[in-house]
Amino acid sequence: MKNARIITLSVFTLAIAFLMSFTIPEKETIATPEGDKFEIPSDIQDIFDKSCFGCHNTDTKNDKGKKKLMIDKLANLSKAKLVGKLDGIVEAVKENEMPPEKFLEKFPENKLTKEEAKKLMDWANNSAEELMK
Amino acid sequence: MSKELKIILLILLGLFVVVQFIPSGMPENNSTNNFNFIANNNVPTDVANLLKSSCYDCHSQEVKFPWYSYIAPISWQVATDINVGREHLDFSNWEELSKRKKIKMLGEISDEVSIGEMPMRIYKIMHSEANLSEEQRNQFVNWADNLAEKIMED
Repeated sequence: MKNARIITLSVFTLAIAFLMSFTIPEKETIATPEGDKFEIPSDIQDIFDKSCFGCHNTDTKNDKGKKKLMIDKLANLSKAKLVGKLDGIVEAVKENEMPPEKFLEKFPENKLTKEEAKKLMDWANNSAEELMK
Repeated sequence: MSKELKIILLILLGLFVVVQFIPSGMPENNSTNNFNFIANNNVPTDVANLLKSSCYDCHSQEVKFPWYSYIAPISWQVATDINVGREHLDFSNWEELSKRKKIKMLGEISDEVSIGEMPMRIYKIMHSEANLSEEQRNQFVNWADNLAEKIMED
């Protein structure tokens, strides 16, 4: 009796899991007004998460960081604004302004490596170039 | 007044006179300003007035030097602010910028003005007209955003 119950439950659970596998979670891409999609590739998102996202997101307590850039809202911006923000990222990283010295003193492990910095700048630069076309 | 105080004041006065002879490095206005940003971009009068009253004293070659900009040590600070300001953005050189750079600058202008970082606090102390009202701020930000969109489409 008990075994039958366990089997029924297992089958039921498996069936649900099976069905759920068909509902692929929607990727978060928001179309710009022109209809093109702006997406942050996962390797770039990883770099953002490591060194930038903490201060540059919608829910941060860092007011200044939030006002300058919200990484999670980039896709909502107009093309022109987006180009400006991408160029701002290139500039801030190139000039070593970001991440800020004070932040790195506290979290030295979050410093961008040379490769990461280059990857991030290349991506931002190319994305801005693409948008200008 | 005690003798010591008199001597100290005299020394300070002497120093004040001496520093007047140190060059302040004050940047000059370039009178052959071929790039009239306001005329070239059909900037509406209200915004043009804001630009001239609140931005151009550091971000153009059309600086109106106030009287205190001739007196050291204040002149040193004024010179630095103008030099740094122009380095970031010089409306008199606007037409020399690439399309992409223009769009970036307008984005920055819009951000800095909307969060109140520009005009600088120290500038507003001596230029009350640069204390923008909420309405002026919005007007300015909208103008910058629209111009960026327009340049993007061109």
